[in-house]
Amino acid sequence: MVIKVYRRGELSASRPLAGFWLHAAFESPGTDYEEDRISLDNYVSKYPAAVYYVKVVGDCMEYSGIESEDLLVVDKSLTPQNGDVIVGVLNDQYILACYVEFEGKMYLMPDNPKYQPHQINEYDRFTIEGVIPHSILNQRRQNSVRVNRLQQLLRIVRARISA
Amino acid sequence: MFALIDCNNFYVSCERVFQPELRGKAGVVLSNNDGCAIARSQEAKDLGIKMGTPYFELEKLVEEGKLWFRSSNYTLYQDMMRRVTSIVCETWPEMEIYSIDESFCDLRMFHTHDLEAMATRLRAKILQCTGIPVCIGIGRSRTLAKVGNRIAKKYFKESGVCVLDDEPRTMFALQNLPIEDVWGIGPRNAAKLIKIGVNTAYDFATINNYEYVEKRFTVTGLRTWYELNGKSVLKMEYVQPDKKGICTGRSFGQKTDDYKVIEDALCAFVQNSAPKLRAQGSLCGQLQVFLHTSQFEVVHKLKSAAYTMELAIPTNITQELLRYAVESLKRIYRPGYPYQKVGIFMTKLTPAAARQTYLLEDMNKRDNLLTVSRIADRLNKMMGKDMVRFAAMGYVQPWKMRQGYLSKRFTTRIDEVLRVGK
Repeated sequence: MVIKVYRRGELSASRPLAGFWLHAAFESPGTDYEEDRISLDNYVSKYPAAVYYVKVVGDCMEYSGIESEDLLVVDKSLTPQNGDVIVGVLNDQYILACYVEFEGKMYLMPDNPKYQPHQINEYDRFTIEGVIPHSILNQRRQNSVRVNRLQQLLRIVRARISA
Repeated sequence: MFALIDCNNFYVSCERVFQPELRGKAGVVLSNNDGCAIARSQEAKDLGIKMGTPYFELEKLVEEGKLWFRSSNYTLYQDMMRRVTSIVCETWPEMEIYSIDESFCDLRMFHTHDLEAMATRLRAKILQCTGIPVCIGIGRSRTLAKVGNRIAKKYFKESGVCVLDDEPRTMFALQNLPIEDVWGIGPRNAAKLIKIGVNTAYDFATINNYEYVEKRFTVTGLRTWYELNGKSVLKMEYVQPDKKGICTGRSFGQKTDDYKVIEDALCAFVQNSAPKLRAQGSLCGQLQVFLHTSQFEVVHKLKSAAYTMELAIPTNITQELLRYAVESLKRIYRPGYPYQKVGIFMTKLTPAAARQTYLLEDMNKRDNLLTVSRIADRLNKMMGKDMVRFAAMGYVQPWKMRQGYLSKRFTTRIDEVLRVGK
């Protein structure tokens, strides 16, 4: 007669006695302290229901550190203040610019001196679609900036050596 | 008091939020197959375009540049609806989502507040944060809230808010509402009522004999009668009840008798429905496959067939459902008919938690299959529909929704967000 002795954990895998597996190992002492990971949604806006994202095309906002292909956060719950970067619709066209009010007039100013500011006149159909509180800049894409940083470092080091 | 928040021309408004060139112009959103108009802008309504107008009748207007159209982009609409409801919920937390563009709120805890001011503020906030215009109706019952909403849409378009809190206003609203537009009165009852000289909601509410109402129009009619008289009898449903059955079926782009095409389509529908089953924690106990030829085809004999299969072991595993569905299809398919539509109907849903285990069942294999299905569900949710799928659903999908004029999924896909600047 063959008697097969099963030890704990050796039960045949294809026919468990219960229809599910029980995990009998020790529970992590951290389980009760688990929290949600950090999520940018709640950081970029107080009001996530009003948050949208847009992508930048072109160099019109270069001087604000907003480069082409950067991702921008649009918060529609914010009221635009003087100097805010905004997304608007000017005569059925989306426009990205700084919003400036001056002497009772509204201006849309691209942050690149290459382009002219636009004063909203009475014939324009203009609405502000949302304020941009944050932009996501890709630090690794800008090859030129990285070269400049290297030059900067070399300059500092060389200056120290010569001193 | 109760409120009904209803988005104006919701699908069209969603399209307009991200495509400013569509604003102020007549336009429609088409049904799943780009077959007919299912949503119209106010301008399109003014042009006399009816709900359900087939696309080919609109083609001329489109060519003349008088009308724009889009395929229905449910991903976008669903996300916009979530935003709207989350804003409503902040102001009036006792909320019931009634449909994709309507929610009811119970305002009884706000009886000391100025509801009109609250509603006006809420409406402005929804418009600012989402770009979707809404109308808000408030009344002493859910039916009156709905009445208020219709009145707001019709007469107070600018403010978009109508509060029926005093007698003269309620009377005005009811007198101006045709009986067939009353919520809960079907077309048949409306015809009956018009025959006896009841033409408006006011006439119906002032029938002062509730026994007569109950006798003629059953308990549903009586409920409506109470509600119109300001007595709330309809309960709020805060949690959507689980579905009793799941039905997926769609017409093919063109008629076909190719078995392979029909089977592919059916398998795809099974794969669409199975995640819904799993998401609500149900098992399917009965499965029906149906197959129709075109109803407009005169040359061929009208043929509609269905096969119902009782599942001895209820399941929500895609592989098993696929096997049963294909087996059923094989029993009803006959070559040579121009088939127009195939579909699947899953019923006898039971909660998965209460599932019995069977003696000769391989539980491990079952768990593995279920795990695979769950992972596939998660991947598909994360990376887009049909990212992971069974080969059974085919690769070329000639039956697929046409959706030739779909806008981008601006709010759920990072590679489809708006592009701005110059």
